[in-house]
Amino acid sequence: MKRQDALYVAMCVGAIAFCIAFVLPSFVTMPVAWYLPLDRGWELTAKPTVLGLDFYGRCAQGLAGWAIAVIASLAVTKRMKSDLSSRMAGLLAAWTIGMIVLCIMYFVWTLVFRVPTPAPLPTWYIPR
Amino acid sequence: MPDIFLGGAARLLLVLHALAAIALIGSTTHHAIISWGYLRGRFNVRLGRIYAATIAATYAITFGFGLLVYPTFRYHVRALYLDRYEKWASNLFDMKENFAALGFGPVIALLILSRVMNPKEDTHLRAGYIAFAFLLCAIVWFDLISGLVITNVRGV
Repeated sequence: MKRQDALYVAMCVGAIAFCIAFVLPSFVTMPVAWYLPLDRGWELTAKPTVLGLDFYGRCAQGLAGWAIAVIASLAVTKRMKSDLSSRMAGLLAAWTIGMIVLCIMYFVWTLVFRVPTPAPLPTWYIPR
Repeated sequence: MPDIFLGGAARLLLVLHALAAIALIGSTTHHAIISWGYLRGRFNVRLGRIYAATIAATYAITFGFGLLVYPTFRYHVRALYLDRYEKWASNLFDMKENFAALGFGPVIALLILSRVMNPKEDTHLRAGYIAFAFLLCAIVWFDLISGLVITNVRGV
C-alpha cells in the first residue's frame, strides 16, 4: 500500500479508537485517572468521593487508544500489497466522521438533561 | 480558600487560552476554505500545509492552556457558581470540553495527510480530508462561541 494510503487508514482507525477509548468510561464502570483539585492529587477510580475531574484521565486514555490503533494499523497496512480503493477510502472517512458525530450526539443528549450537584458553599465564599 | 494548582495565574491563562483560540479559529476556517477549493480544482497545497500545521500548533496551545486553567474553573466557577445558579452553562462547558477532545483525531489527521497526500493525484483521499477539515472547523466554532458565552456568565 502507498505511504499516503497507509497513513490515511491509520489516521481514520486512530480517530475511531480515540473516540471509543475517550467515551468508554461513560458506558462501562472502569477506573480512570481523576485529578482532585482540592487535594492536588490523583486517584485511579471509577468515581471519587470528593470533587474531581476525569477529563485528563479520559484524554490520556483516548491518546493511548489512538497510539495503539495507529501502530497496529500501520503494521497491518505495511504488509498489504493492494492499493486503497476509492470505495474503501470513502467508507473509512464515513465511519470516522460517523463515530465522532455519534460521540458528539451522545454528549449533547446526556448533558442537555443533566442536573449538576453544586459543591457546598465554604465559609469564606463571598457571592459576586 | 483552597490552594488550587495555578489558581493565581488563572486569569492570565484564560486570556492566553482565548488568544490561542482566536488563532485556531482563523486557521481552521481558512483551511476549510482551501480544502473546499480541492473539490473545485483549485489546489493551493502549500497554503493548505501551512494552515494544517498552524491548526496543530494552535490546537495544542489552546488545549494546553485550557487544561492548565481547568482545576480553578472546576472549583471556583463550576462547582461553586454554575452548578448552583447557571446549570445550563455548566452543561454547555462539559459539551465544549468533550467536543474539543474529540477534535484531536481530525487535527492529527489533517497535519499528517496535508504533508503526504497530493490532492491533485490522490483523488480517493480528498473527500475524507475535506470532511475532517469541515468537522474540525465546526467543532472549533462551537467551542469558541460557547467559551465566550460561558465566560460572560462567569469567568475565573
